[in-house]
Amino acid sequence: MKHYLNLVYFAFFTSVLILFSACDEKEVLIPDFVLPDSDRVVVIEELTGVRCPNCPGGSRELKRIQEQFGDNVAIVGIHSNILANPFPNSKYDFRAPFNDQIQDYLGLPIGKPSAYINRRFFSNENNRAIPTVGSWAGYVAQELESFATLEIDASHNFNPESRELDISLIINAKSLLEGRYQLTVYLTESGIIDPQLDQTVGVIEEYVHNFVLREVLTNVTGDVLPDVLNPDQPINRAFNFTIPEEDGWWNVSNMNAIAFVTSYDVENPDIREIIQAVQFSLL
Amino acid sequence: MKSLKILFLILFSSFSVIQITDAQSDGGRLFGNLEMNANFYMRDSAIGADNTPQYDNQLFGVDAWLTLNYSNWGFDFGLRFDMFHNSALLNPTGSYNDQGIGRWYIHRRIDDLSITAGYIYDQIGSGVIFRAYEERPLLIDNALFGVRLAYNLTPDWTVRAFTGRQKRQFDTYGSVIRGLAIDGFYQTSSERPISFAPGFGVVARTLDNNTVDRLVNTLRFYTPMDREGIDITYNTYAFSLYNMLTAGPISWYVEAAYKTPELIFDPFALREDGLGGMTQGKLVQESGTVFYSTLSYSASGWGITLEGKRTEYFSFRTDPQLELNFGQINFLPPMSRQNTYRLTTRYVPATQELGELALQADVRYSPNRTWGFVGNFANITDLDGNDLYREYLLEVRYRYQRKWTLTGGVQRQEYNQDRFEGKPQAPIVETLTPFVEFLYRIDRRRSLKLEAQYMDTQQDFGSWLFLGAEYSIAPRWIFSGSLMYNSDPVLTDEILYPTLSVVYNTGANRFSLSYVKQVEGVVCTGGICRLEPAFSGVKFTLNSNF
Repeated sequence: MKHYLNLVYFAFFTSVLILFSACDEKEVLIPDFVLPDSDRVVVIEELTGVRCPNCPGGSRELKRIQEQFGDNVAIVGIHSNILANPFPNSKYDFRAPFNDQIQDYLGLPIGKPSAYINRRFFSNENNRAIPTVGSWAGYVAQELESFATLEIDASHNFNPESRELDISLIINAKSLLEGRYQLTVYLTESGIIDPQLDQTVGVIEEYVHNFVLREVLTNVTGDVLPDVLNPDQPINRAFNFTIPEEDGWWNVSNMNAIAFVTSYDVENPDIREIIQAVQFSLL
Repeated sequence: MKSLKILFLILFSSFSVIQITDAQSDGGRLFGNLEMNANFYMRDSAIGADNTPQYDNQLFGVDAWLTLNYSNWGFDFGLRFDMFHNSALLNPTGSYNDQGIGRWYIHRRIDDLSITAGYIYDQIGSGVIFRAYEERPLLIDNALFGVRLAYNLTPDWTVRAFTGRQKRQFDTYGSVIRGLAIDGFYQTSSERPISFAPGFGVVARTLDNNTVDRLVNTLRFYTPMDREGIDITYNTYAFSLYNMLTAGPISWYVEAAYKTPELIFDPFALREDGLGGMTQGKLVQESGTVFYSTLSYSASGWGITLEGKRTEYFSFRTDPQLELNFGQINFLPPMSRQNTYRLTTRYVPATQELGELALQADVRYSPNRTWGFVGNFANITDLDGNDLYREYLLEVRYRYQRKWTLTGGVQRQEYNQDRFEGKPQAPIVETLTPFVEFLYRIDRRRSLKLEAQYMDTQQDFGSWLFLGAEYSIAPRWIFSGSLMYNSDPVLTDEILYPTLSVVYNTGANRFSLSYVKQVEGVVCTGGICRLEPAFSGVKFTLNSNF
């Protein structure tokens, strides 16, 4: 019996020694945020919905990200089908087929709010749509550690009487780019007041919805660009859209356009990334 | 069968380089099983069975697991092929597609040493600090991909050590998990022996650089106040001390666990949003504790079990930023009765890893073969005393000879839907559910089972009526049908949810075909739960052992 106990004690203390042989760790520093010096514009496509109780928290985080990163981010709120049915007293229905098509194209979320950040599938994540709100800013910062490989110059004209919007884009690669590329153009609107469910206070009747995706001027999955983007051969694209009459929404003074180029791999849909974007307000 | 054997011989012929001095072929043994679930989706927007790729476009999905085990030359080999096509298991509102080798392992015993390499399932104590396991209905497969050693120090004392990374579908997570456990057994030699089965376990998790970088990248955007006291460490340790005491009719299991401070995601903690407001959910640095005990008495027709558990900040994941059922290193035992009837299982409390104080008492009494009584009480609160779940259940069983059995009872539940399902401002669901089951043995082969339940509630979907019938012709056929009716609806119209099913058993094969219309609800296996959307369609399942 004594022999057995000696064996047990030996095994126990040896194991504890092995496990704790290196308890002291070098401190991991958490650097303060400094806006990276980058010409990239990171696109955040947030999956949201008026019946999503945690989405107001996501929207607040986006607002904060917008304040921190300024012109280096472009934000879109995608009201796809999950938790997006309007309330009986909702004035607007933010759902539109293109929202679901974008969500289906990029991959369904595990829940809402979730966000595609530059449409990248980050290695630690289970989904392209990232559900941890607190990590969004970090991914944006990570994307801004590199420089853009192409430039998008945008100009536009809006006729207040006809409400016609003309957008011209010039896409110019900084160096020779070969691959598969798509161009997408969104119109978004902020400042829309309508009910929203909130985790802590229930339904907020006069909630201000920002970054709402209102229209897609290209194919929902993007217009295909040439496989070779040559720095000497800029690509021109033009878009025309008549903005509907203002009826509480379609308020042009609150609207933005976002244009971005996505690089993708036909064989492997996991490889897809927005390489540059541009954002401008319509007025 | 022969071809499978040949396949295995080819697969493992590479091991011939291992010098096997004392292990000779004993002819080998090949065995395994197949589990396949096929779902044919039929959109029904009235019950919410829509707006997922399966209902919108795919219409069909299948999940399958084919397991093969082969033993020879003193080795055990295992291989499992997993397939998920248009599967809703990983994400109930998404579609998951992949296939490949979901598990393999090699096991060899050399005298008192046991060596396993590959995908390993194991646990320490009741799993509070470590449990590598599989729950297919929720697509939880937390196998450890690594090496495990076990050594019998004495006939009654065993030490185990393991290291590896946690499985993540067909990949692994980055963090490294290592652990050690010592389990023993001691029995007094008195006339009425008392036995002890003590154990001690340690698990350490080392975060990978990617995960640490992500944590740094998240925390650098927190305000100084939210970052106060936070110190990122690569290593986290969890310890557990446990013992099972058995003295005659009494069994007493007790376990205490402690986890060193680490970053965990607290979905209820408030974080400054930098705009003058607060937002819910943030990383906090906390140490964790669990105290768990169960005391059982079983004699003279009585079976009494008392259970208690206190949990504080015991989320232990391979990556602190993972949520839901992903990346869990440990398993916290559930603290409510595992009911079987359709309506008594409608509201099941998920284990709360951040804070829970739970008590349960279960009393069974069978004075003779004719009568049986069950009483159960469960109470779960958070550590601030807020009610999360309460259940009272009484059940009486009367058996008339071997001809028929009548079971009846009533269940009362109070269920915090806000907390368990994340439905804000949802009131506590209060239910009263009487139930009755009648089992009639027509003859030695045929039997008929009828059951009826009624759930009275004013919350969530409102009241329900359930009627079910099952006709069995042993050993081959089972025919069943049920109706679940939202008799007093709150959220929808009065909707009928029918189910029809036929099961055919032949030898080691079991075929099942069902037409199912199922309301949205929480699905739990072993205390791990998630909210599942409604289902409408046809299910085919095949289970085959060989």
